[in-house]
Amino acid sequence: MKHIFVKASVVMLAAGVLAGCRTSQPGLYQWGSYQPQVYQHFKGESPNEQIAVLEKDLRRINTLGRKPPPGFHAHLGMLYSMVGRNDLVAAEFQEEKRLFPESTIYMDRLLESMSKGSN
Amino acid sequence: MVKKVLKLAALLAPVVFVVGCATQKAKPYDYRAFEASNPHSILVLPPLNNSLEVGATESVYSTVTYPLAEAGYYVLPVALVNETFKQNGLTTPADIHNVAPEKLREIFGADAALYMTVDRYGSTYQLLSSVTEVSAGARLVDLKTKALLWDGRATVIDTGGTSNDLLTALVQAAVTQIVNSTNKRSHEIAAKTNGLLLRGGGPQGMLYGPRSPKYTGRDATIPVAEATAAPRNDKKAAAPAKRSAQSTAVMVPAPVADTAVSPVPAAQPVAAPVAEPVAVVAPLAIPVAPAAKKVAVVAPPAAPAAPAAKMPASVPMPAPAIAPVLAPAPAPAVQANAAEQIYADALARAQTKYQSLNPGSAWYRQELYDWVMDRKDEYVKAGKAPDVALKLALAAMEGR
Repeated sequence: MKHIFVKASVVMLAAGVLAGCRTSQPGLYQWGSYQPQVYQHFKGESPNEQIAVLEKDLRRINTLGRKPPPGFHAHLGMLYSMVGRNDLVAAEFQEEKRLFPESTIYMDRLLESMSKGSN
Repeated sequence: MVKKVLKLAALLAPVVFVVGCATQKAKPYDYRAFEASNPHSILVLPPLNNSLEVGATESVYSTVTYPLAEAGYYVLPVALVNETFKQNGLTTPADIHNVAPEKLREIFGADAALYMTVDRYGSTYQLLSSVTEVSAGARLVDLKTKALLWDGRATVIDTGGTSNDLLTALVQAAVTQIVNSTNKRSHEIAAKTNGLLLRGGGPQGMLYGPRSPKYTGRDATIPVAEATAAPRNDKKAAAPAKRSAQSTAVMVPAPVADTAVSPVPAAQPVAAPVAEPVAVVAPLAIPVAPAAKKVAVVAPPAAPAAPAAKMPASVPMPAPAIAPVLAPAPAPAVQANAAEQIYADALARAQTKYQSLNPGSAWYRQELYDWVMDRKDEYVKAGKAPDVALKLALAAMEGR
């Protein structure tokens, strides 16, 4: 009987401590399936399927009035370029730059190599 | 029995506290270089894979963005970065880690680079296959000055929430270990490991970056994104902590691990472009909570996919059913064969032990399992190979 009490109190203590220290963390971004799609990309899933998913995500993000995470637009731009939809690529890279000026050097480099036709 | 449980409770109590609020105890990390550098953007390089799992790099690499971005940093798009390396003839993480920092800065325009290693991934040589473990280390390096800004290490061990008793779990172990190793769960645990390792504001962890409302640095010129509910907040997270169904997460920033008179022959030095004297090679084996004295133990931010399963008062235990389950298990690889042998052995021994004890208490079974895993980790820490450690732990269990 005694040990039941001891173990119960240990479990309750754990629960209490965990609950006490848990602070609700508001997220900075609406992630959608960005990371799962990156994983799919690494595993060789077709760009078209990823594009469909990410475009849907983006509509939802916009509806919610939130912000996609860093890299979302750049990743989408890369997928567009992989399937030859070059007209859409630059806009995505520009959008990445607009949302995240920290990406400027890299995005400009990519845009430049695109305009040279090497991408 | 009472004594034993009390002993266990005594063991658990301090650990639980540390899990709850791991803030005070650990030695303060020296953040001066980090604060001076004040990075806004982080280029994460494809992690070096020291684990046995082929897909570990991709799995870990694809889940680094979330914790870092939510910590307030711009994280360069990992897939695109990887593509750029490829187009420049750099296809392996080792090659990429050797690129000069100036070059990285020139191409990507990032303030800092994160060099990561994956040391363990998946469920190799564990007592139960439902044990999934991912261990990773990271070093943040200023790309201008090449100074080391921060380093850390995290391990998440997920013991699964489905099986509450040793024998059932062992049967599952023998079956699933052989069937698959790169599974969805490993990937989830990898994401959790990244979350533990790279989130902002953790004890000994990364500092918050400029885009976070919690950023404490001087440069706050960048507007803070509006704050709403985190997409990954787990509502069920209030479930009581029960080791059977929760991940055990251990985060060890390298400087803290001055227990690092590493019994394991030091891992081959990672060919890093930066010659820093800092790198204390942490022991490969990180002790799990109860054995841990000096390490900071951090509760995982979210509960594992399977919520804590209720322990049934009595678990049906058809012992004869075990043999047929084990027998037809195919052995596609040599390594799998060895693993199968170990698990079969473990199963037989555990069964013997189990029958000699009063199985009335589900708690006892859990305790037994935890006890074995703790002994195993102690042996690993003492320099034994994982499979040897497991055998020793089982021997210890029988002799108890």
